[in-house]
Amino acid sequence: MAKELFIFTLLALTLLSPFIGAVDMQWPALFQTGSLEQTIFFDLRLPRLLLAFFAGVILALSGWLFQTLFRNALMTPFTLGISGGAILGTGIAVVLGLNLVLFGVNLSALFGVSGAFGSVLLILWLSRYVSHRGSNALLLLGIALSFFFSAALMVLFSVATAMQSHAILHYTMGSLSTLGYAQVIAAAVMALLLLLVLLRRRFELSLLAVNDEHARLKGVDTKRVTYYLLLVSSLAIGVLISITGPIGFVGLIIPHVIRKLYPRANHELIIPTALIGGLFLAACDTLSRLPQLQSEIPIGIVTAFIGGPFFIYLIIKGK
Amino acid sequence: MISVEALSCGYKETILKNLSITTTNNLVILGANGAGKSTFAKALCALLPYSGKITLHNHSLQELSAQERARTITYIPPKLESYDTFITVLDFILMGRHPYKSPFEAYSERDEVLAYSLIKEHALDPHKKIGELSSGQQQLLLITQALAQESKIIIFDEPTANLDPHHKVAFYKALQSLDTATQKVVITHDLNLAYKLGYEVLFIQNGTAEHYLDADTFFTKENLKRSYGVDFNIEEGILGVVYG
Repeated sequence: MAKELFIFTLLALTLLSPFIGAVDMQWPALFQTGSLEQTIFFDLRLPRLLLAFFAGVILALSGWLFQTLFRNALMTPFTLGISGGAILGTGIAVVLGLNLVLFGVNLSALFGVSGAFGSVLLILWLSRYVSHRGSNALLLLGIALSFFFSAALMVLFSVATAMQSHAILHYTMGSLSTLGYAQVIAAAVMALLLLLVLLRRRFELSLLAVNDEHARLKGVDTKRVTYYLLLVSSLAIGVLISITGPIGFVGLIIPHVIRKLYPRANHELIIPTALIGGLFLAACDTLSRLPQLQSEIPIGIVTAFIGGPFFIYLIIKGK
Repeated sequence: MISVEALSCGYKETILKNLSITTTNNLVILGANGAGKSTFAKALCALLPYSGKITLHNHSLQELSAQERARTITYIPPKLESYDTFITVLDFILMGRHPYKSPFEAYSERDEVLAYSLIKEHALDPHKKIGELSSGQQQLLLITQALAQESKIIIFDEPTANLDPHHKVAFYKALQSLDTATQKVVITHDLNLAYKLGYEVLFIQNGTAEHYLDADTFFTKENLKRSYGVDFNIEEGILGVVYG
């Protein structure tokens, strides 16, 4: 019952999304070609809803993947510092004034992806020295990296102009506002890529979810599979973060919620994780615009407001 | 065939030093706690970095692909440790068939038939979650999974540690009738089991090993006393340690 209620609430809030905002949607006007309502609906609100959904898919799936690969319930691209790298990369692009498109690739996206890749490589290189101490050591490394990246971002603030500083600040709060469909398509492609790769690799992932030794004994080249999956997910995360900025907590809590809702083997949870992750972020976006304040509440703040207490509840309640 | 030349390996410090052995027969590995029995087994499965040369069935361990290696040799740990505890018994047994599976494809019907027949044989419940099993059942699960894997060499690490006498005997019988493996290797502290099996003995001590081709030369009161430093009794085919 709680499961149905939860999913129904998410679905209702998601469907409500395009009808909420500074301009009220009038039904007849929506179907009038060239009306303001129609433009707002199709160029602003619908792309925003779709971006929120695909962003949620990427964040939730990456969280699920990191938790599976490292067999640690606290692993996400955020806790491992990979998001921090992407944020820093995008921040550098802003300071360098590289907000332009070259050969069909947005340069700030390129910097975001490079930041994510760089962090993955750094984490993998560092992990060689701590691997025997288990995934908690890796988690600590990730947290240390995150702090380092946010310090570097602070340095960026001090060299940036006032305009750039404002842009970076706004960016680091995370935002799902978008115009048209270019960014939606980029996020959708990444979400589908990640989903397909995880589904194709689900058997290896189910073996890895037991433990690394077990997977190797059953003929999985665990190192290669792990590196490959980390690179694919950091590509998706890098592209996403260059579009929306950091949106925390989705990757951490959605896999936990899914495990509570569906007590099944990990590899059977890929599609539910993707769907509920997408709906959750879209619903959070609706909530961020409900109060109709002067400006909307940044999405990262809404997910943290919901995710934080919820996560504390999960921890207190125990496994 | 297992052939090991000048094997050295360990974790932070070297546990095995310059160990060599060649055998085509079944083997029990004995030795004190921490002597390096499991370390040796894991090196054979390429789970640990090592120096020296390991050859399995005329193939260098380094040259085997991950899947080929899994078809050649597998290791059954003494305890099930799993992050995901919601896997069903059936899915877990099926994972044993992974070395034969084409990439990205589901397990074949043949794999499922084999898994079901093994599950029935070992009286497991296919739909139970592995986290809900008792430690004895988990050990049985690991053994059943390895049987589904049909590797040429199977290493059992403390297979009877969590089993009650009834299951111990059942395991002993299953091991005797196991014919998919060409070589069975058993690591154990259960000397009575080792004695009963009558396999060749590898006794690991101080980083190196003594290889007894004939079990009877190992299981004498004098040799056991020399190897373990305590007294043993052997009567009517039953071997027991003498307390106090």
